[in-house]
Amino acid sequence: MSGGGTAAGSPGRPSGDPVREVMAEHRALCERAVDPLEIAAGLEEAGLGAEAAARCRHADLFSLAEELYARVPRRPTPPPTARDRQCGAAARATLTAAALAVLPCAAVAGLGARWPVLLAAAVPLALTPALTAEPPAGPVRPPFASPGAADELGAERSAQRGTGTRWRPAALAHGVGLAVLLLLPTAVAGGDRPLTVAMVLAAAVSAGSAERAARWYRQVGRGHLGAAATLAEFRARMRPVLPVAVALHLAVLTVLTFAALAVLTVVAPRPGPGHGGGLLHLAAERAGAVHWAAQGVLGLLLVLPLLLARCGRWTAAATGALAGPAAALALLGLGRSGPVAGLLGGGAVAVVLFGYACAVLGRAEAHR
Amino acid sequence: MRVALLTEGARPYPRRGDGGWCDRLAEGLPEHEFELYLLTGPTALGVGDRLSPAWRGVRELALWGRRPGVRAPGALRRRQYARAYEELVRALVLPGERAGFGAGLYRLAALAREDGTLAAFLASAHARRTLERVWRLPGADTSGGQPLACDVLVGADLLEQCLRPLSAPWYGTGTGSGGLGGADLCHVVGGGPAALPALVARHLHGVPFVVTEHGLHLREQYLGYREAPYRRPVRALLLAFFRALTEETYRQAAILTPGSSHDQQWQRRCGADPGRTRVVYEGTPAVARPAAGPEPDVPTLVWAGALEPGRDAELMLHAFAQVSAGLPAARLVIHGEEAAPGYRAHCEALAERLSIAGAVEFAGRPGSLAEAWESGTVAVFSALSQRRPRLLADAMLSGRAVVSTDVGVAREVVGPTGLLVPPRDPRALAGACLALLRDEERRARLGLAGRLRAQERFAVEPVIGAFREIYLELVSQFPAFPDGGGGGAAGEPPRPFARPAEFWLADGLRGGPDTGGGPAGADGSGGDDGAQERPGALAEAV
Repeated sequence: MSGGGTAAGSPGRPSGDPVREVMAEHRALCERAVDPLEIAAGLEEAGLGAEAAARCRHADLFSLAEELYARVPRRPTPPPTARDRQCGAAARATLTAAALAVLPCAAVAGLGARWPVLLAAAVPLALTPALTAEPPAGPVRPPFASPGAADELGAERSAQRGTGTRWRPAALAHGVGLAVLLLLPTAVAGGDRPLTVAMVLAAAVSAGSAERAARWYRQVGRGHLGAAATLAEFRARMRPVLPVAVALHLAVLTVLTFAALAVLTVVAPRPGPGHGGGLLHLAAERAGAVHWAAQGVLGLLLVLPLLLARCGRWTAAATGALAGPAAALALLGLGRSGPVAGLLGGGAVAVVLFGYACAVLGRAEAHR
Repeated sequence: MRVALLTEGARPYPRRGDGGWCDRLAEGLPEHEFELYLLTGPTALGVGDRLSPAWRGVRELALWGRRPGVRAPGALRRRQYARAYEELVRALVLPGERAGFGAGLYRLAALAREDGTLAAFLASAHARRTLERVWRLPGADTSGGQPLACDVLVGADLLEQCLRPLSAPWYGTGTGSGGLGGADLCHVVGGGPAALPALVARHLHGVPFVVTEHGLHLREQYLGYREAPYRRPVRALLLAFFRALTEETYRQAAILTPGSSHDQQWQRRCGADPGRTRVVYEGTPAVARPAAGPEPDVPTLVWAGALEPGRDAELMLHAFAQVSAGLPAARLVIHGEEAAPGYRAHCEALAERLSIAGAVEFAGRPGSLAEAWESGTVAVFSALSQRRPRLLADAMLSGRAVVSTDVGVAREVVGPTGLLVPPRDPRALAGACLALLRDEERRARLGLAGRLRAQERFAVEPVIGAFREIYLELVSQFPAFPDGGGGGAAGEPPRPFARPAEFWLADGLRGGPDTGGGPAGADGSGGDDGAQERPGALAEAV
C-alpha cells in the first residue's frame, strides 16, 4: 500500500530528501500558507496521510507541515489586482442619468409648467438616483465554509451574497429632491423664461457628468484603498480628490451652459438694440452674474448628494437634495426673485453639504 | 436538567448540513429541557414555528451580514472597549502574547454585557485605528506583507462579525434566571463562533460545556480561507482568531466529542486533552433502512459524491478504463451534482477520451442514497480526502461491498470490511474493483460485514446514550448554584431537585467549580488561571 513509486506521482527514482518532493509538488500551498496547520489541511485535502508523513520520516502530517512551513519562504503578496474599470457600465450610467434628467425638463419646457406635466415629469427624475446606482455590494462576508454549506452530493451551494436592494426609500427621497431642483426654476420662471429653460436644460445634461464624477471619485477611492499603507495616509491621499471631482463637474456644467446660451443667442437673440461682439461674447453676456452663480450652485446641489449617495451616505444625500430646493423655496416665499433665491438658499445648503462631504467622504469606510 | 444547545447555520433545512442531529438528540433525551441557541446567516430564519416540540424554545442571532444598529458607547466606555480590544488583537498578531486571547475576549464580553454597545464599538473608526496600530507594530506576525488600509477595513469588519455572539442578549444574570446563565450545561455543536457564548457563560456563571464537532470548524476555515479573496494579512488575522478561539474552546470544554478519531488527532494538535475526549460517531437514521435488494444483472460500479476535483472522479474514470478492459460488460454509474463549475463536462470529455463513454452514466442526484447504492454491485469512493464519515457509512449500510481510497476517516470507518487502496493510483483501484466484481461470495461477505459494522457504530441510540451519560457526569461535578445556593437575582425560587444526588455528594469535597476530579479536574492542565476562580470573584475582577 505504501509503494514509493506510486506516491503522489513522484518519479520512480528514489530521492535523498523525500520532503523536497512534497515541497516541490505543493509549493504554491506552502508559499501562500499563513500557518503550519493550513499546510496540514491542504496536504490532507490533496490526499496525503500518515503514510506520506512516514515516508518523509515524520510522526504525523502536522510535523511534516511544520517542516514545510519552516523550509518554504513566504512569497510576498502580489499587489491587489486593479478592478476592471467598467468603462461600459460607467458610460451607460452617465447616458442614462443625462437622458432621464433632460427629457422631463425638455417636456416641461415644451408643454408649459402645468401641474399634470410637472407631476409626470417628476416621476423619471425621482427614479434616476436608484436606477443609475450600482447594485450594493453588501457587507464583507467570510467564506461560507461552515459545516453544512454543501452536502456530500454537491447540493446547491446557496449563493447567499448578502446584496441589499438599490430601491431604498432614501434613494427615492434623493430623486424627489432632484426633481424639485430641476423642475422648480422652470415652474417659477419669471421674466426671461427662454434663458431659464436653456440653463436648466444645460444643468439637466450635466446630471450625467455628475454621475460620472461620482463614479470617478469612487474608483479613485478604491484605488487608493488598495495602495495606501495606513488609514491616515488614505485620508491624506483622498483630501484633494473631492474638490477635483466637484471642479470637473462644474467645468463640464460651465461648458454645457455656455453652449446652451450660444444656441439660445442664435435662436432667440436678446430683444432690444443690437449689441457688438461675436457670438461667444453675446452668449456670455446673455446671462448675468447672478444667473451664472445660481447655475454653479445648482451644479453643486446636483453633484454633492450624488457623491454622498454613491459612497453609501444615502440619508445625507436625500437630506441635502431636499434641503437645497426647500431653502430656495423659503426665500422665494419671502419675495426674492428666482435666481437670487436659488443662489442664497441653495448656496447655503451647498456650502454645508460640501463641508460634510469633505469630512465624511475622506474616510476609508466610505470606499469599501 | 436544562441544556442550552448552541449551533451555527441553516439547521432547519432538512436537506442541508447536520440535518436532524440536534433534533434527534433533543427528542432522544425527553427527560432534559433543551433550548436551542442558533447563530444564523444574514437574516434570522424564523424557525420558531417549524421547530420540533422537543425544544423548549429557540433564540436566534444573525451572525453574518449587516450589523444591527445600536448606539455608540460614550468616550469613557470607548476607552475601556479599546483596551480590551487591543489586548485581543495583540494576542492575535503578536506571537509572544498569544496567552492574552482569553482575557481580552472575556473582558470584551463583560463590557458588552454591561451596556450592549460592543457591536457599535467594533464597527467604529476607533476599533479600526486600534487594529491598525497593533497590526503595524514591529514584530507583528502578518505572514509576509504589511497590512494596507483596505486590509484594516476588511479585517475589522470580519472580526466584528465573528465577535457578534459576545453581545448577544443571552447570558442572563445567573442561576435561576433565563438564558445561558440559568442553564445547567451548554452543548456546542460545530465549534467556531457557536462556542463563544458557551465560553462566556462558563466564564461568567461557571456553566460547563460539551463540544461536539462533525467535521472540524477550524479545518473548514483553513480550507475556506484558502480560496477567499482576501490579502494575506487578513487571512492571517482571521485564521489566528479561529485558531486561538478553537484552542481556548478546547482548553475550557469539559468534554469534547469529535465525530471520528481522525478529527480527534486535529483536536489534540490544537491542545485538546485526550482525557476529556470521547469519540462519538455521528448517528444516522439510515441504520434502520433495510439492506439493498438484489444486485443488478450487469456488474456495475456506483460512485457517489459531489463532482469536484477533491472527490477525484477522474481517478474513478481512469480506473474504470482498466476495469472495462478486464471485464467488458462492466458499467459505471456516477451520482452527484456538479460542485465545481465545468467539472462534469471535463469528466464527460475524459470518459470520451478513454473511450468508455458508452459504459459510464452520469446520473445526477439520486432520489435517495439507498436507490443510488442499489443501482450498483460495488460502491467505490475515489476521493482525495474524506473528512466526514457520513457518505461512507451510508454506503456500508446498504450492504454493498465498498472500495475506498485510504484517506481521512476511510480506514477507521471501513476497517476490515472493505478494500482500501492508496489515493491517486488508478491501477490499485481498478484491481480492487475487479477483484470484487469477479468474486460474488467475497463481496457478499464484505458487504454484510460492512453493514453490521456500520449499524454498530452509526446507530442513533448509542449517541443518545453517550450524551445521557456525559450530561449526568458533567452536572455531578459542577455546582447548581455557584453563588452559594440561593435563588437567582430574578427572584425565581431555587430548584433543588434540578441536580442529581451525585452532585450534592460531590460538592462537599470541592472548593470551587473546577477542583474536583474527572473531566473537570483535568481542566487544570489548560493552565488558564481565570477559569479557576469562582465566578462571582471573576465578575468583580473584570
